[in-house]
Amino acid sequence: MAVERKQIETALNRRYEAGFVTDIESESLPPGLGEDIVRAISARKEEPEWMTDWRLKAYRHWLTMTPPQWAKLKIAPIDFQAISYFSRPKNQPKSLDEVDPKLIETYDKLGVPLHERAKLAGVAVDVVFDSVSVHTTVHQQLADVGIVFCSMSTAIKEHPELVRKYLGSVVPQGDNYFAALNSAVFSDGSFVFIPKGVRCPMELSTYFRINAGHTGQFERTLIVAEEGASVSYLEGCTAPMRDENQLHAAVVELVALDDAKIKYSTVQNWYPGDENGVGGIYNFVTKRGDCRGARSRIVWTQVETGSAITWKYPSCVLRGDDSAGEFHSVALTHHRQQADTGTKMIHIGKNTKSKIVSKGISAGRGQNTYRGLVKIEKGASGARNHTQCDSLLIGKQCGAHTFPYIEVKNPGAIVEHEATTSKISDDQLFYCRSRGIGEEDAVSMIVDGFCKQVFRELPMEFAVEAKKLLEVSLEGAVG
Amino acid sequence: MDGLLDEFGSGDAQARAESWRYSRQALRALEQQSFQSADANVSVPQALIDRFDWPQTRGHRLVFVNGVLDATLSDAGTSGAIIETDAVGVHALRFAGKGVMHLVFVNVATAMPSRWNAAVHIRVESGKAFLVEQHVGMQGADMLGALASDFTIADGASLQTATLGDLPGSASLVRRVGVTIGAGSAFGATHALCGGRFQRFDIDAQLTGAKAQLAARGVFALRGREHVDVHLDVRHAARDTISDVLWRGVADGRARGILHGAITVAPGADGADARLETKNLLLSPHAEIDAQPVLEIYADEVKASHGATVGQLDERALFYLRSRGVPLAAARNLLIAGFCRTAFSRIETTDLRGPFEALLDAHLPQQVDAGE
Repeated sequence: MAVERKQIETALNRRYEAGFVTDIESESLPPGLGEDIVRAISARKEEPEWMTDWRLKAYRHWLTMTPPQWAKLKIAPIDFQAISYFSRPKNQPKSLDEVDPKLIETYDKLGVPLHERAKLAGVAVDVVFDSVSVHTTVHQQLADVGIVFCSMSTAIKEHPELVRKYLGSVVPQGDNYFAALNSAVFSDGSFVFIPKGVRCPMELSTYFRINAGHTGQFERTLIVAEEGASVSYLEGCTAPMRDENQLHAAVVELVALDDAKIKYSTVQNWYPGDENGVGGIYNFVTKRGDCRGARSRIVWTQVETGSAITWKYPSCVLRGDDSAGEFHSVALTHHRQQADTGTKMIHIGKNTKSKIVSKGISAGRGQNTYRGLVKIEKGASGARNHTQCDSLLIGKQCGAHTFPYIEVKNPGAIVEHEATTSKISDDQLFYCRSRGIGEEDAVSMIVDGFCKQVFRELPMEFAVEAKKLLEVSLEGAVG
Repeated sequence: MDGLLDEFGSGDAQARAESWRYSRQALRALEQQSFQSADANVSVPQALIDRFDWPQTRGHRLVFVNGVLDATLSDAGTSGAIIETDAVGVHALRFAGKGVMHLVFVNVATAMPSRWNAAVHIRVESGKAFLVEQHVGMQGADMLGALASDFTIADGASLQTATLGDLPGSASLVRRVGVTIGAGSAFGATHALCGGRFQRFDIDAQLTGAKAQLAARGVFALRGREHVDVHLDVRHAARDTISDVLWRGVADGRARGILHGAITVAPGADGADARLETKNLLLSPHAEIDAQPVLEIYADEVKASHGATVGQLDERALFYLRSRGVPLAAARNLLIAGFCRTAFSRIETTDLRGPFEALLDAHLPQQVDAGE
């Protein structure tokens, strides 16, 4: 028992593995937010006038809004004037050879499959380091089939007609407080365009990483799949250890036209703060997919283990007839992490289908909330939804909450929701232990089983990473 | 501007907005009228009296006409309750030992839109008490009743309630109940809510003693422009407490039915076992059902689950009945009635089940075969 106690203590004191700060001079704007800052960001990114106006419109709208209070989160007030809204590494590299070796080293530590490794793994990586895209791989291979996969800044320069057509068409500038903020000051992000009838030959992947202190990261991602196109996109995150709460407000927009399919997978492992709730990322994300075309399909899969505060509701607007939306989520809160996450499924078209699988795990003093809306509009005859929402509690001081909203206006729809909350039962633990499995292993095995339904939806390499993440995040939760 | 919301809502502006998100408009519409204080000195038509004058509850009955206790219609001599009324007209009923009480709230419309407020508190000190609460009224100018209650169930005691909301299309009701359930005591509630212009039921139950139990059953069957909003909040605040909620909803015409069922397990309330199930049938393209089953869990060693469905009748069940020669419309009516009556399983005495089933039958959409 003494040995076990010691092991647990060691595990408890384990530091955040991806926590280190790469020392590269970054060129930041002074902290603060105003029209001049918005203009400055736009100017530094050499954006056309319409883009500057678009940002300013968002900023002016943002000024009229107040931060949302409805989430079940305890958030210290954020001083938006204390944040620097732009930061990028100096000396922008023209090719990978010019990339600062320290940067490459950082990615190596994180295990980002870049250049050769990327090709071997069949992954094209669009790396965002702080705010500027550093390098994009496997560009040519994708360009050959007409796919555009680049940073948002590049897209604004090279494909303004596409960006103008789709940017803000799913999440308008004034959609919510954080989306408006993002629209005003977004630094970079990814742009993916899959033309008609093209199946993306590889999994697209991007790695966001927050680096310079005091800098909020505001990505803007836009993925458009034209008629019959399909794409699978992976997003993974880690961030170095910092003591100030860092603000992150991203917007992701997906557009799926007729028969198109978009699969968006996220593994989020930002710095969650220490065991006393000091530091950690504030993660306020607006993700929304628009199934604009008939028979289109959008699948969100997320594994959320990081961030001090998570506020995130990847949603699907099922506009096209026979379109389908899915949401698979594992959210884990440990120590003093708080997560308020879930989804919205808005059924507008006929015979639209949606499926929600949410698994919440709370440990330590973590608070985990599922918040979901299933809305069946009048015209959505034959709509179908199934929601399953399970919570697992580990420890006496954590909380697990479920807030589903079900609004049905069509008599031809079938909506089902079920939720359970339980703890790891002593029977389960006893069974494992009697078979010689240690307590920590038993817990991680049970948790893995609990999450299996979601992990199955993840691409192979992500599934492995996710499982490992969960194990690491839960270390010290039992004892 | 927010007169009624200020009056009926509780908590800060945000809590109120959230709690009334589906009924805000209905409340706004009510606010458009200038309500006068309801006149209690009105004669109750015999037809209305016949609706609550049940032989089985004679001697156990208190009748409130437009919110005021009517001595001539009431007779609670054998109810076993001690009845006290304080200076501001708040009634307190105390039960010790076995007791049965039939509370009737009669809405008699006057020439102008009018409203009433009443408060009836109930305390069960020991033994088992049974309470029937009935809301009736006659069509006429708009009526808005507000009824507030505290139910206190002392350790080891039991209170069973059966509520019939049977209102005409011109009457609205805002009913607020706070229930405190002591150690080892039990609270059971059955609701059948039909008719009315707007009915809001707030039931806030606290399981404050170890091994306290709550069982709530209910059904709303709505048509026309009826609007029923039920907010059920169950808080487990002690060890080994049990709650079990089952609700059925049917909405036809342009009706709107809302069920918010929240279960909170407070820190330390280990061993809690909470269950909530709501099933709803949406029968018309203009009707709406909103279901909001909420779980807030702050303790482990807890079993908590909820389920909610909105849909139509089971096609296979329909097919089965039709294959046995039951015409389509009759088969549908049969299935809808069966669907709703599940909610009455806890009414133990059959002579009381009668009024519930009769109310439901009168309000369920009766479809006639259109010569298929």
